[in-house]
Amino acid sequence: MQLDVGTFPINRIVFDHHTRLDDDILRINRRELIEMIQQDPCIERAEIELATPGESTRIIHVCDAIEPRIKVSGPGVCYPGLMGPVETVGRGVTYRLGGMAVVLSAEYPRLIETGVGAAHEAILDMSGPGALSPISSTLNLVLVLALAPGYSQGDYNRAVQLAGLKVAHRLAQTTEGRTPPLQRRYELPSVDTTLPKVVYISQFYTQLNLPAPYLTWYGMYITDWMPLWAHPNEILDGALIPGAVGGDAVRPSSWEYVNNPIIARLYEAHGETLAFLGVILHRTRFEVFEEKQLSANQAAKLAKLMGADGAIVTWIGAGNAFIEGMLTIQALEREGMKTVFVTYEHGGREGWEAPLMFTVPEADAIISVGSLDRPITLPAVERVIGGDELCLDPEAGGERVPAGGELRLPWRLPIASGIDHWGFGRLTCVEY
Amino acid sequence: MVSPIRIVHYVNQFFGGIGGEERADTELLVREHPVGPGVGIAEALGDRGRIVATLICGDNYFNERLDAARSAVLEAIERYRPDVVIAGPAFNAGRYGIACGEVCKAVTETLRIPSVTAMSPHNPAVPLYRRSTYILLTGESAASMPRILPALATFAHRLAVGDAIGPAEREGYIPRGIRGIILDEFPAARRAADMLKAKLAGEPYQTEIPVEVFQPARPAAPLRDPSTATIALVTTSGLVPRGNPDGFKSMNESRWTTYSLKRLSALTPDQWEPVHGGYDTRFVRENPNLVVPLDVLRDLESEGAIGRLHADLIVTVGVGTPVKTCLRMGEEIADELHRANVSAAIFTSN
Repeated sequence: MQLDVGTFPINRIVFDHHTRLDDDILRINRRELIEMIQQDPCIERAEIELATPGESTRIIHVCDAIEPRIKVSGPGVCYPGLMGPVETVGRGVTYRLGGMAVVLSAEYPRLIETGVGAAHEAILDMSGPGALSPISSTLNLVLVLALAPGYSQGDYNRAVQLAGLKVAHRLAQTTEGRTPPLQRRYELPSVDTTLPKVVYISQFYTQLNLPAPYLTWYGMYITDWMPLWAHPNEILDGALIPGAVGGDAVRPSSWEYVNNPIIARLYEAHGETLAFLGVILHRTRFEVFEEKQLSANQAAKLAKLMGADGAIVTWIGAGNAFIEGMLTIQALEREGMKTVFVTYEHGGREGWEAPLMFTVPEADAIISVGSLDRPITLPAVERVIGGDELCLDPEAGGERVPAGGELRLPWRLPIASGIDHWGFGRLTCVEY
Repeated sequence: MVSPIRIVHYVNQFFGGIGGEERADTELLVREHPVGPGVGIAEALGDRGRIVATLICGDNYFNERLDAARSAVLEAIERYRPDVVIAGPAFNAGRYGIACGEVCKAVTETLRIPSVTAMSPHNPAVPLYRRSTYILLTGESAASMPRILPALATFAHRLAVGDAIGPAEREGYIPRGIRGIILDEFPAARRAADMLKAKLAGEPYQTEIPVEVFQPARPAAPLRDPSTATIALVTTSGLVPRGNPDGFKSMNESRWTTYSLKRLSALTPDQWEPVHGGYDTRFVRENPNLVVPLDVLRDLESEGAIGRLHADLIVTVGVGTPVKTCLRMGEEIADELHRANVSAAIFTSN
């Protein structure tokens, strides 16, 4: 599988009469894009705002962030199953707009009051201590969507996600007929057989019976799946992306999926220091322990069958889903494969609580990407995109507060993509 | 110039120049000048600070009459109003290490004065006190004295003036079990690939999170006769009276409480609701008995299969709560159930 990804770095986004690419300036016709989105009856009103890294801006009600990618040649489309048929992707030529994202902001009505199906607030600061996410460092074109009353959460999710994907697609179309300033080939040719063979086990959580999917594979709602073998290029073409109900700290955005830095790193090392075999997609958060153990064993079995000597295991989510992470490490190590696990830590408010909530003795090589639990204060900002108010914990009777004021967060969960599950950044924890 | 800091220094009978093992029963003595290692500390401090008092206790006295010794030392320290307290260094001396650890812990916790001591990582006092004070690393014996005294002086001065103390490894103290967020040199994805490469090659690497393996809880013995037992319902499912009167959070909760089940034969959705961010609560919203099976328990009670249902439901929200907080809540709940003479509990999550 050979995929050439051409990158058009974007340095500025400006409103204009025509949507077009002008070297590294993306000019957009706001009207055209809004009209395109507003065709969906679930969307009552749409606005487009721009947010630049470093400015005193806060985006609220963040649902997802999407990178504009388009299939130029080869089978299928980018974001397959949602934007086109489910042809196997990862081959041919894909163009992307680099350094930018289409950020979705929509406040869901509280159709589901509590539980994992409920929409939660997610905040994205473009500067200051809360600018923890890679999406705080991209030029963001924000779609602010007011949802029409009378639809289901599933309807809203589909409408919001498609609005983002369609706009991203329209923006990526501006690359048509142009030569990308940067180009990279992604393929996994046979390499020196003495190099250690490595798989990437990417764990993610979904749940049964949710009104809107947490995650889709080629547009298909992932429920209680056993581990699946994937080519990294399928992920680069957007085959695996989250739903659009809300992107809190433990649910990475679509932008992060297609830019997964573990995949990038293993590609760089392929043929140099190791042989990258491919990706095992591993659905976690099974309800029953035996199912967790089974899924861990199956992931290790796939890795073994593919001839792996070692694995990098990452996970997303909280609590429940972490168990599969540890069980997978144990299963891999017992099958003789060396593992490295990447995780965030707990540790409580001050950092003296246990960093991990479940462990196995085999987990002796762990990379920390910081802590979810430490409180963080987001300073007041000059500008808010997406609304005037937000509510952080409606279940606990939380009140609506002015969105632009100082926000004292008891932990980092409300920060959109606030946990760096796949290691874009340099955060870690050490002992004090 | 910043005014010199005031230090109280604690040593044992040996380093205090009183005598060896034969004088280990010596009760608290106070000298208003540096003594023994204190002379080296004072020298290293220069005009940055001075030792206003040296407290000397015999090791046996301190260890065998811990409460009395601790009070006497605290009282003396309070009198001298130091900015910081130094104890030791104790190297690998066990009883001296305990005394140093205890003095530092007490001044820091009781008097809110920062403290520092120094000992070998193998000193038995280390696991007991590393969370309560800064313990600088020394060698096993007094041979490492010349190196450690200036380090103690500088560290104490930094504590006194309120300098931010960095990570344990960089600063040379024994980790206190506190995890702090920092920026590494490299992105985590690169560190992961590098660590895997090292592990595959059999080269040394250091995990960034040392794993603590938890002890599994040992289940209590089964009930001999459930028909005479008092059974309690305990749940982490976040089921609360409608309106969530105690304001339980949907995640990261650290409180638990009790709600009365008296005169209720089953739980109804008009009176109860789930507050929980970790599972799909829609089903429970329709039928709260799914997570707190009061309906079934009442049947068992009237059939005589169980003696009696405990009058109170015990509730917390189990999601995203750190382990130690869970342990604390578990112990509190167990105490509560013991007090109420409950013989067994049915624990439901979600």
